[in-house]
Amino acid sequence: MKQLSLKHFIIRSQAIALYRDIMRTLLKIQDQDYRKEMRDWARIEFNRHRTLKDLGEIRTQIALGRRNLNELKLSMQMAS
Amino acid sequence: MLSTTIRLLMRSGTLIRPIITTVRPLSIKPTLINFNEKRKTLINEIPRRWSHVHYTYPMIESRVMLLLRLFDKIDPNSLKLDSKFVQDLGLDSLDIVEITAALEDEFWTEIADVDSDHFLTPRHIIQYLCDKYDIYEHIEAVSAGKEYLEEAKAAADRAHHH
Repeated sequence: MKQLSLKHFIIRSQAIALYRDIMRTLLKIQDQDYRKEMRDWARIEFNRHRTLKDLGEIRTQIALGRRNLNELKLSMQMAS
Repeated sequence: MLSTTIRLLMRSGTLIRPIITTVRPLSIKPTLINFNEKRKTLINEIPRRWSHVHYTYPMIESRVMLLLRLFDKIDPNSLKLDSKFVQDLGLDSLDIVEITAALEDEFWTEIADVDSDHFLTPRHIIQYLCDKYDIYEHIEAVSAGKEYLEEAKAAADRAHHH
């Protein structure tokens, strides 16, 4: 059984919060094909780094994800 | 007027919208807007939430099960009310986050992280939404209550006959 340290547990909840923000933002996209594509891309990215153990690397990936999400929100604002 | 509000709500491309079960017109306050001196326009198309829709247990159950069946990682044939997401349907925490986001969008409500941690079966989701909308018609009477009622009736009959 994998033991999670407290820091890992906290960072796991941060990653899940990021995924939740991504999903909520994606639901606002009108175009179904574009939404599906972005959702699959988000899933692939999260699953690729699923087995990371180092806290620094995990934080980097979460920051990258946040940056991508902000870019997505900006591009949605421009489009509408 | 009604069709434009329906169009406004449908434009977001989400799954389904609440079914109108009453025929009361939407109670929208008409607002007079003065574009210029010569033309006054009556605008009564302010979009409102479906606050007059009557939520019932069958409606919530069918919407939740439809939403889950349309999720691409769930096999619709093996989906039951009590099928566990993680053990039976093979989902993981990220999928449950996705389902929760879709539920928030469908029911026009916010679902906190702490609440979505407790969603282990579809029944839990339906129960959570019933609690949110104060629906309890599907809950059976507690058996102690039934026995008490029978005893009370028997005592009343005895008092009546004496």
